[in-house]
Amino acid sequence: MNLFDRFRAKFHGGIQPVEWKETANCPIQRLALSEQYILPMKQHIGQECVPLVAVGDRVLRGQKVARSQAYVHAPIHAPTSGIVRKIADNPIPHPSGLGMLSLFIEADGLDEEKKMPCLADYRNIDPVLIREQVRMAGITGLGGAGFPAFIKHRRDDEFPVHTVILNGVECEPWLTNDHRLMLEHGQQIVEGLDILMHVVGAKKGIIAIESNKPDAALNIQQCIADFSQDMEVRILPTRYPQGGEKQLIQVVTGKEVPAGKLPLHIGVLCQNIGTVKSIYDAVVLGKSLTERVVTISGPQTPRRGNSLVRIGTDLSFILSQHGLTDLSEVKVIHGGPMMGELLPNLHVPAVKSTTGLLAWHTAEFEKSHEQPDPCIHCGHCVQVCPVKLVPNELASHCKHDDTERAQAYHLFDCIECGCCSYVCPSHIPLVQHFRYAKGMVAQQAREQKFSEESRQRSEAHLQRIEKEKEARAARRAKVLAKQKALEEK
Amino acid sequence: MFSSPHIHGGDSIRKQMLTVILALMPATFMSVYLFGWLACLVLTCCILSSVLSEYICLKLMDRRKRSLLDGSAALTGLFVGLVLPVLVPWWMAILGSALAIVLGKQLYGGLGYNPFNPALTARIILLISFPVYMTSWAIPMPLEQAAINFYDFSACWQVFFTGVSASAFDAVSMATPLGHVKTALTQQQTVSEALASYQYQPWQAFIGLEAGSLGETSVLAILLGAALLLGRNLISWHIPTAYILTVALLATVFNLIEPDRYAPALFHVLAGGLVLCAFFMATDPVTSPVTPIGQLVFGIGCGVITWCIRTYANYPEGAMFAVVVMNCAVPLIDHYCRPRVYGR
Repeated sequence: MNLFDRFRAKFHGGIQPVEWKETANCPIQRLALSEQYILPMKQHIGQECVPLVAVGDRVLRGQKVARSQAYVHAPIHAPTSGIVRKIADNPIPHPSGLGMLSLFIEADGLDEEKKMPCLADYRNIDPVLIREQVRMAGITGLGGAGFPAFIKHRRDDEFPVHTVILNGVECEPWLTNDHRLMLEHGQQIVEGLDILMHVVGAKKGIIAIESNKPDAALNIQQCIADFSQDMEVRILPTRYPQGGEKQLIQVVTGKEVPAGKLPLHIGVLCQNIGTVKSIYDAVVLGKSLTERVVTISGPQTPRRGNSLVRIGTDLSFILSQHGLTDLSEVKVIHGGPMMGELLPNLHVPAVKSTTGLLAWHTAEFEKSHEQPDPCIHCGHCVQVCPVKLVPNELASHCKHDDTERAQAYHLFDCIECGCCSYVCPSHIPLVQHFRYAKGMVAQQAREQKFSEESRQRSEAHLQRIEKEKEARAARRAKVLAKQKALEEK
Repeated sequence: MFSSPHIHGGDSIRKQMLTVILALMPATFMSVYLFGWLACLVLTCCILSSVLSEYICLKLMDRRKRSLLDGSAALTGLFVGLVLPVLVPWWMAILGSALAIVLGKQLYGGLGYNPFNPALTARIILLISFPVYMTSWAIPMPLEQAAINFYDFSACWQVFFTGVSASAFDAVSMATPLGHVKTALTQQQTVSEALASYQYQPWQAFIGLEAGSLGETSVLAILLGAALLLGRNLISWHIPTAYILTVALLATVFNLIEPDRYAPALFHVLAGGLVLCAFFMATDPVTSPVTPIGQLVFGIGCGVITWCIRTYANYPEGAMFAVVVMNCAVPLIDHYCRPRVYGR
């Protein structure tokens, strides 16, 4: 970092919400096996998967049960051994409550596992093969966004990656699963970082940890000391949303990811702690992604803690294992309180992006969503926005369905971190306006594409008719000419 | 359906308004100290008539009554009171508050929709409509034993409702420093002569022992309140700093060129309503820009206009005009002074 970068090595705005990280002291506990697992066919950003198994098939844990032909996708693996009972639509953990094609697997309790080949000697193995292993393991970003991990591990001669950043920031309140992973599996995480550095050919590895996790930072520091000279722990001041990829890169390197570009383009790979642990499991132990750590917390949860949960476990089962059985007066958030989604239905499966389940009492929850007052232009949203938008102006354009103006105000640069809504004295749901407008732009684009296609179709149709007409006329002219010739003869 | 974030920082309009009222308390107490019961009567009358006007408007316009309790009407009333001279009659206090609420705020759509600062709008209308009342300044109590005893409630009651008798008027009133210098300059005196004949002392202006509107005299009291606003992040430093520095810079430059005709920076900064406007009026969230660059532009604009009016126009004080004029430009400033978005 040169002096100029060092000066810029902080992100704009941000907030410091109350942390509520009380589960930081709860060791990760393996959740009991459930009787049934439900696997939605899309748990990642990209193309939806297609089942590879049929009803009645027996599957093993770690067996690939669904994949897609598209490049951007992550295959799905059975979380335990059992029989495929049903392939049908089932609700997914999403605020819309909409369904998706899902595999229903009835567990047989044997939990037999099928592994991939172990690549424990990864340093002497072609990075391309390791990347393929990560792809086959179905690993997505476990921080919440769910982008297939292998895509980021591309070696590009034009944009060589020089730094791998591990995101141990975990800036969302309540969530502590990355914190626990760093405490309990420091060695694996450091080795996972080594794998990543080997895969992309990076010279430097930085593990970024916020100052509110000194024990985790110490543990990782000790693990690094025995392991490598090229790694470094960077302790950052606690501030939300520092765990946002772009914000973290800005803090660590002093550089901004140019709009419309990827971290790769400035030579950086950024990966979440949980993801790196899964990468280690996949490469060294040959395990596919079939489980993840989930923080189960919130004021209404009797036994808060961190659980190692199989993908596909019913959320109500997970909550009941933590003592929350009466779900009538409870609101549960999927993810953290700042960016997580309120679940309309708790009989949905845990997916790869399930970072946390936070339960609130309904009355208490509704208190934090007050009726909005008019905007008084106090500008607090401008002060806290980490991407330096003008949220109040942007929201007013969104509210008036002025999507053109909203895009001119950089609607699509919004990362939906929620800082603006958090500080708004008028309780205006700014992020909700932005999501709505983004959805509307997407809808308009679809409609425009559809009408464009229709127009082309109808033009082609008209042209065809025109051509046929001409052909008919030509034929007719020919016949007439022939007749005329005959008559003349 | 509830959308994220699911937690809130706990700030509210009510909290903000109450904090601003709290921040105005030093200036309010100072005015009560200087002008006794009369200040109390003017301020109380303004606050009550503001809240009443707000209530009537909300009722007539069928708007949510909830905003009556957010403290914004009371705050506007207090602001109106603090920018009035103490010798205003009761009906002007009521008229000013009603103008601020009805014309300045509710007709535009209520809280958050008004383009101009309501209190300053009211003051400008009053100044243009009743110039004599609005430029009669009482001698503050501790300076001299004036003809009215401000600490005598019945005397103040009488003055407030029946006015000062014409014979006693000269005995109780004096010019503001700005007004005095302006008059002196038109009589071909130099600035230093004018200040000497006023017995001008900067420290008196700083503490507030001079003639002026109720809340504007004491720079010290205003700064105390401003510290609270800055500490609570209700205002940012950009507008006041840009505003005051611009006035100081212009004053210094012109004072160096022609000291006889242009007053020095210290005089300009301590005089009149500049500091009150800079910290409390120009920073009114509703009518000021939200972006940091915009706030600097806004502050500089206010400073230039204030100094120009004070120096070249007929009015001795221009701070309120400056703020209201710049209020017009806020949407434009906000549009062109957006910060550079991350990665662009």
